[in-house]
Amino acid sequence: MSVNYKGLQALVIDDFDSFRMTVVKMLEEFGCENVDSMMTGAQAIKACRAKSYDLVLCDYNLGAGQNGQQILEELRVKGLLKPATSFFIVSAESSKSIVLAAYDSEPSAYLTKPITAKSLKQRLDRQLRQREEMLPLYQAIEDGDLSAAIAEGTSMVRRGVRSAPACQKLLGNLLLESNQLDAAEGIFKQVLEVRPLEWAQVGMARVKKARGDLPTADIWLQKIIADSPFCMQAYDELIDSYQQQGKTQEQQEVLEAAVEISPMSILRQTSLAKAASSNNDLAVAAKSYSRSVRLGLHSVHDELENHLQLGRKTAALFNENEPLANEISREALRALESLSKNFELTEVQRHQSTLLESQMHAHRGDKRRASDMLMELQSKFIKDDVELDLDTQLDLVSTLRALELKDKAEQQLQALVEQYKDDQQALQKIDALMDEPLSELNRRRVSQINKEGIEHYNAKRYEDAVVCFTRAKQLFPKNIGVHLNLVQTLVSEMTEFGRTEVSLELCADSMKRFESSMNANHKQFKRYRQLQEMVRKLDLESKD
Amino acid sequence: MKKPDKADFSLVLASSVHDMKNSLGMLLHSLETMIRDTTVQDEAQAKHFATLQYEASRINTELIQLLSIYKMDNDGMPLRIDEHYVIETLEEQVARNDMLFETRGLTLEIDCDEDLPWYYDSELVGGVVNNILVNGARYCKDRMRLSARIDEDQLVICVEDDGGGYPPSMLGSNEQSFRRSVSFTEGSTNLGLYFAQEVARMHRREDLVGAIELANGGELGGGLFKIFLP
Repeated sequence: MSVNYKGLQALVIDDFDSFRMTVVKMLEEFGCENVDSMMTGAQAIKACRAKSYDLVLCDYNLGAGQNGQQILEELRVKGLLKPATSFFIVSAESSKSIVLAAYDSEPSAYLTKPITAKSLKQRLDRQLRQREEMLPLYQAIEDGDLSAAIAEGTSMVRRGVRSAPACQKLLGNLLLESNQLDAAEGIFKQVLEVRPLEWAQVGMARVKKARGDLPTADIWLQKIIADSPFCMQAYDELIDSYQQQGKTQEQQEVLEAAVEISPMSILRQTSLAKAASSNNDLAVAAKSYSRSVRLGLHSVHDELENHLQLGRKTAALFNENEPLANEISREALRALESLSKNFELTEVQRHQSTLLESQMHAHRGDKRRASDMLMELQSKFIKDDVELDLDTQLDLVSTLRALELKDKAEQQLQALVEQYKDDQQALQKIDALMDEPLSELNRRRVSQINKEGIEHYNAKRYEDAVVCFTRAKQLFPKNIGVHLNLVQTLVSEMTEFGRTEVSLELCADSMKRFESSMNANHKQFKRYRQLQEMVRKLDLESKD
Repeated sequence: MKKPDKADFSLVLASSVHDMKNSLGMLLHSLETMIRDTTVQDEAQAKHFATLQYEASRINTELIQLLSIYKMDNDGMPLRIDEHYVIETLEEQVARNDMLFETRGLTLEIDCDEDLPWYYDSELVGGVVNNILVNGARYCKDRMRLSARIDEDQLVICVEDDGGGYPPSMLGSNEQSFRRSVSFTEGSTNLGLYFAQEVARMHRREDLVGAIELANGGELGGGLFKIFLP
């Protein structure tokens, strides 16, 4: 079957004149009568808005602007590609490193340079023949007629047409989308009976998920990842499953593994930043937000919120890990300062951005600049009689703290607690700044984790207890009870099994946190002193 | 997980190989354009073109293999097994080397059922076939043959030529490792065969492991390379 290039609308995107012209010429030699060519992502996106293309050949590395993958993502997000459009990414790289960056925007195929006329023709013929055969199926999808698409796909698979394998994949997805789980399972099982192909295994796991059987889906997905550590779709499905189950710790672990394999995916970086934030893992959160912001430079997935969060997490990190925070803060500051250039800011976002900038200056040692910014903003609040929303008020408290205006910060915080005392969701946010959590959810979390740790402790399972209290410490870093529980466990462990430097350092770190605020009136005073004494003894012994 | 900050020499080498490969891509491209736009004047010139073309593609495939082997050794080589039509993988390699065969005046015959599907990583297996083709183009007289069939539930791809065949020391090597036969003094590193062997071994099904085999004779009387993919 010969392929008819005559009626095709084709687009070539490449910044190198000679490459672009060669490829255009090749297409014309194949019989294409309508070939457009563009040099940049912006031009290409404009072109796709004006006209609907059947075939796009896009270079991956386009110099300073968007790369091929980002163009494809933007076109998909904006709905500028038809389901039937064949999109090729052309690159000098081995395609596999690029493939891993693809999140949910995979091109029809990757072509590796150098491209010769003969090999391009061979590859295009194959793709276009498949496209032609699958056209009725694509048309039904484009018309939004899912059941017609499913009927067409089913019939094509049954007839065993040449594109049957491709149809099978597509059909599996369509059946899942339309919640026809038994039929979807049938497709995947049929494939798996012959070969353990990744996509069908992931498909089975998705069926389990859709049925609500998340634990079984998790087992499947973990096995797929163990067998094929580069199957990114399995990671994404597992991450989603953990998210649904509220297993944020596990979710973060899988995300970290996924991001190590495919560091170029902005969406995974952003999910990691969010998961780490909910685990209060500030170091990971700040680092991943900074990567998302960097990857966002030319991406349709760049979000204003990522820039603000980068500032917020970095500022908070200063209280925990100053050297690291310092390292990230320059980039965070830049991300904040350039916000208005890249986004339309609302009044509220402008306020938050200014507060975060002020915090960054304060932490970086420029107190004068920080305090000028804060004063100017506060006088504006008064002058315009601005009513602040919760997030801005929380940023304000942090800014006051960064400037060591402790009394003002506490005043502001107490006012907030009063104002939101009946709003559980607001209290959960406020908890981040409190010594003891106020919201029911976080109180439950802290008491549950403590209870679990104490059970381990009483049974002398010190290692398990340490894991519990360490997690609790990360979630509620200002909670003295959690810290003292950790110290007590470490002390008992060392008394029984011998001292270790690491444990002694952990103890010292926890004790030091409360040194300045500790006095005889504190309700934990006696316990604090006792533990302090025990740590001191252990420390002395180790120096003998 | 490997430590990314381990700045060892192989990493430096890998990244420089990567750069070289990109430059070479440009070179190959210009070369192809030049050859296409030039009318051949005499036989001597045609020969020069053939040499340029051949040596450049050979460096290119060697570099790609170096990179792939580096990635394999560092757990960085994803294996993507999927269902493919074997003919498409074969034709892709032939098309890649079209100019090479033409300038050398070689005829290549493909013998593979149009509808034969199999399960393998097409990029890796395609790379293996490409390398054997490029190598064969140097040693054959004027004919090569590329074929594929299913034998005892394994895919067997054969590349044959009408040249002098493999040296006796390399024959029957499916048991031995080609890494050991990497010999710098003899000027032949067999890197391509080592790569082929590793790619074959990455393909497994139940108890079966992929393998390669070298022989002489075959239908064209020269070298005969076989890769078995379960």
